Amino acid sequence: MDNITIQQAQTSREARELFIKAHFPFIIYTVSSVTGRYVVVENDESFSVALEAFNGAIDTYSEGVSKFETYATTVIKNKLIDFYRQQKKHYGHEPLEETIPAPERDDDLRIEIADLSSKLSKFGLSFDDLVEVSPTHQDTREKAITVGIKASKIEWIVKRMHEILKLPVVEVVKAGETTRRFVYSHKDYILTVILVFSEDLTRMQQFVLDSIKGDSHEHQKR
Amino acid sequence: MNIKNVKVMEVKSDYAVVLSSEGTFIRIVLKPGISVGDHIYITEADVYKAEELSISKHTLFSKRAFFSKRTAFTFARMALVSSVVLVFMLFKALSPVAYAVLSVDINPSFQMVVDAAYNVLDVEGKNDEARQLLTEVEWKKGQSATAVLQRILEEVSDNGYIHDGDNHILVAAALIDSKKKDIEPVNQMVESILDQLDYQSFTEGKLIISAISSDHTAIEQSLSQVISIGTYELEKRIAPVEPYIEVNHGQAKKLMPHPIKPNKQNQPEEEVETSPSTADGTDTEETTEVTTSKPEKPSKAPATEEKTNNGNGVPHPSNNNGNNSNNSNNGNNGNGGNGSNGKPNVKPTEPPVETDVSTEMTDATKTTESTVDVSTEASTETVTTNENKGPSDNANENATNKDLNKDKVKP
Repeated sequence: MDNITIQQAQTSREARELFIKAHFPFIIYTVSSVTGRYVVVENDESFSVALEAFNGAIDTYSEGVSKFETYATTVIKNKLIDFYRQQKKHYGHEPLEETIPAPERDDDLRIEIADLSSKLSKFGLSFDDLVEVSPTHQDTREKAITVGIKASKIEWIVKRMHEILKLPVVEVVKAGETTRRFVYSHKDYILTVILVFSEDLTRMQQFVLDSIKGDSHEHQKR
Repeated sequence: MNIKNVKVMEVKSDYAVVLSSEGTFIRIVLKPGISVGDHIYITEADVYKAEELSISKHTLFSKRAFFSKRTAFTFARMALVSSVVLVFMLFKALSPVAYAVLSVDINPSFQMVVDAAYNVLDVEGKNDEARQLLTEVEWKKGQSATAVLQRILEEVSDNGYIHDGDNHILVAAALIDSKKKDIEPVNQMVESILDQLDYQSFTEGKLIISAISSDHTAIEQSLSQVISIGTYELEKRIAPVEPYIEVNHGQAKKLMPHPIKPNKQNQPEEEVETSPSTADGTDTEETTEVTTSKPEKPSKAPATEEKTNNGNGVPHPSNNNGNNSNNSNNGNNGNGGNGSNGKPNVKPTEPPVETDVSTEMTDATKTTESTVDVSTEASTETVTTNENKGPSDNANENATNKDLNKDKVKP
């Protein structure tokens, strides 16, 4: 995908789609640096504008002037500025930041996150703590999630976990059919997974499950 | 450039925590409009680097940085490190100092370093057997020397080095401080350690424990020669040492009131230096010990002789010349390995050269008397000793006497 050249993208429709997909990170990075905001995954108008500008840049780019990325950055930047100007005209004299339409908030997810956060705090954990304990290796992470999901299905383990306010390692080892060492080294992460899957946190559950599926898809591709 | 789609879980004052689609929690830098629950794209450039922000964006003493959790952690770490260093320094200052070296030669040869409270600082095996046995002995730094020795002896016994027959153990001790010449503290230490041993726990047979004092030189020598100080002393000494404790069926019986008899260690160093016997490397201290121990010999000789000939391989000097051929049970000689596998030879076995030697030594002693202020009693004892000595002991003495004779001729 990365090997598709700008010339191919200019001539073939399929190649262009692949070329644009391959440059998604580039487009997102450019938008984020121009707007100073994070690009929202769904319904981000700035991103749509940038995508359109990038597509136009493929058409208008001629070799020899500069690198394509440099050219595309300029095009995207100009298009976004035009877009903001239009927005400003449309909304009168309101400040720039407010003219950018706020992305739609997922209230259900926000409630679930708040719920999970309060439950974690009972166990003396916070999302901040989880940064340090998140397994870095993909296989390890998947395994920890799988162990957590398995353990969350067993009621008495969940009950015991809430009683002792920590992960019942021995029980989880049996439920997850894994080693004590593994469970012990990832106890906080597994505990979080159990919390997510033992509570009614469907949006969170879906996100975590997608992460495993996404990873496994990538594995298959490899 | 990689992008991740993430969900914002928590927004803090300095950064936000997000859960990535891969299932990892990541800290990202704050940007306007970010809110919990947002599903956003992040790039590698957005990952929050604590050091960058806390140092470049906030000054160290700005209120925000000072009270931020990460900075507090940094301070906590610094405090922890400094306190650990402080504790370490205090510990080092208060930690026990090596006071003496104690060696135990059974045939496995052990050597331990103890502090002034007779607690063990280090134990090492001086030969292969000892090193092998030590792997089985559990001991901790700071344990009492008696406890460690007890454990060692039990292990030694379990491995058959102490049997139901007669067993000889040589204990040697030396103070590390070379300035301390007094034998009393050494005696006290050895006595204290040996008296508390529970002998029944490791032997049903006969056990003869002899003790000798040594000095700083022996420690250095034993280190360089990889032998125990006891072995070193024995190799150096001409005559054997008297036993201190005899254990029969676990019952300890003291043969002497104190493990080590006072010898010339008590005497000023100058005497040792000026003594003619020093000239050929024979220590005055040793001669004295021999002489002082001899007068008691007639009463204890039979017992000692019996002990001597049991063949337990207790390191003993000057017996490598075939004197042991008279002894019937030398079975354990093969266990040696520390360089001194001879037997204690308290009583002389062959007297042929006796007269010459004694005569020469008498002269020599006279010479000693004239040159150094050695007491008359001591010199008389020396004569007696020489009469009792076997040829095995004469190698060094002959050399000594040659020197002495030279001195004698001069006037």
